[in-house]
Amino acid sequence: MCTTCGCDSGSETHIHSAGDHNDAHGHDHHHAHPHSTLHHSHDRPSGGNVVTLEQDILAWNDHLAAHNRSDFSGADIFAVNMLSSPGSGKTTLLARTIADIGNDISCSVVEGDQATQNDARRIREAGARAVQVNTGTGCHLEADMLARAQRELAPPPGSVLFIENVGNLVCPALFDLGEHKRVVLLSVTEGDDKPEKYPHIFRSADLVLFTKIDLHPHVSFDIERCTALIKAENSDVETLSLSATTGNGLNDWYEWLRRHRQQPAGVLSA
Amino acid sequence: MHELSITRNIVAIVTEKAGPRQVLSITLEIGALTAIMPDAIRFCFPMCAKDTVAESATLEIVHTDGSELKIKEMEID
Repeated sequence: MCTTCGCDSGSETHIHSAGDHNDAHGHDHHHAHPHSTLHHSHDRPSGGNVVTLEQDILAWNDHLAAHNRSDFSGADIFAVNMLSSPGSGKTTLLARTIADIGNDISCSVVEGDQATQNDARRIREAGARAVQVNTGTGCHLEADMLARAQRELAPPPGSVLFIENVGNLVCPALFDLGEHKRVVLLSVTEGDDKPEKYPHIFRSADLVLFTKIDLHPHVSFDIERCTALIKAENSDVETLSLSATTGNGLNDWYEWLRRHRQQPAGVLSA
Repeated sequence: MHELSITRNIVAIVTEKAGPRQVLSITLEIGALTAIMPDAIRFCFPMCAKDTVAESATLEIVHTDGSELKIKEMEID
């Protein structure tokens, strides 16, 4: 039984490289957990013994995430975790980003979806290398999945590694993958109260991108109100508005990437 | 439904620590900032613990204000 992700025991997380259908990397979940000593035990009137554990339930994921971050920093790889609900334009933005700056900055992508190779194919068509992680019934990526995917992808030193998480505003917020920065996308075709409804993911963000702003004249999304709601959850977060279709605002996004990529590894925050 | 993966982690940890002994109760500490629904943990637990030494264990959940997400203690026979 897989104990590190929510997938059914009958389902598997598959990692697909450029060759498609490369199933050499099947089910490889780690079942080990950090060992804590039994700090103390004492008898209870009920006859049972109380064993103090004080064990962080996500410790194993966090441990693997710390390794990922250390590996990335050591190789001068800037890792960016991209999170949003399905359909907010993550893949479209990444494909456009690769087409625009891929000649200057080497980019590669780990794509997370429950099923299909569609997104990895779109990234390859845009000119970058991609590995697809299919989580089966899982609703988020975890650090061990990223570790295996990045071994497969082998991003070159000095490059940017984008991790496109499974489209979901809830579960991915909880799992550190070892990224340097978290970017949350929110398209203007969604509700501008999303930061109130899903506060956890916005609290964990370093940057929020309002996407599809070419559609803004046609919808009632209030960017100013939404920004205030995001800042109420997370006063340090940066926000930008852009359209991957028209190109409006993309230079600010590229400037953000360049600025944070150039920070010495030691000061990159989780 | 990340509570399912969380609950599987809980069962894996306590069964590893308990060895062959039956687990009578498990005390969790779950903070309000963790995006974890205690009710969902309770819902998942019987399925995850089935056919393990934790099958009959009761769950006690201590609510905190922070981002705690840990197994505080367990009672074994």
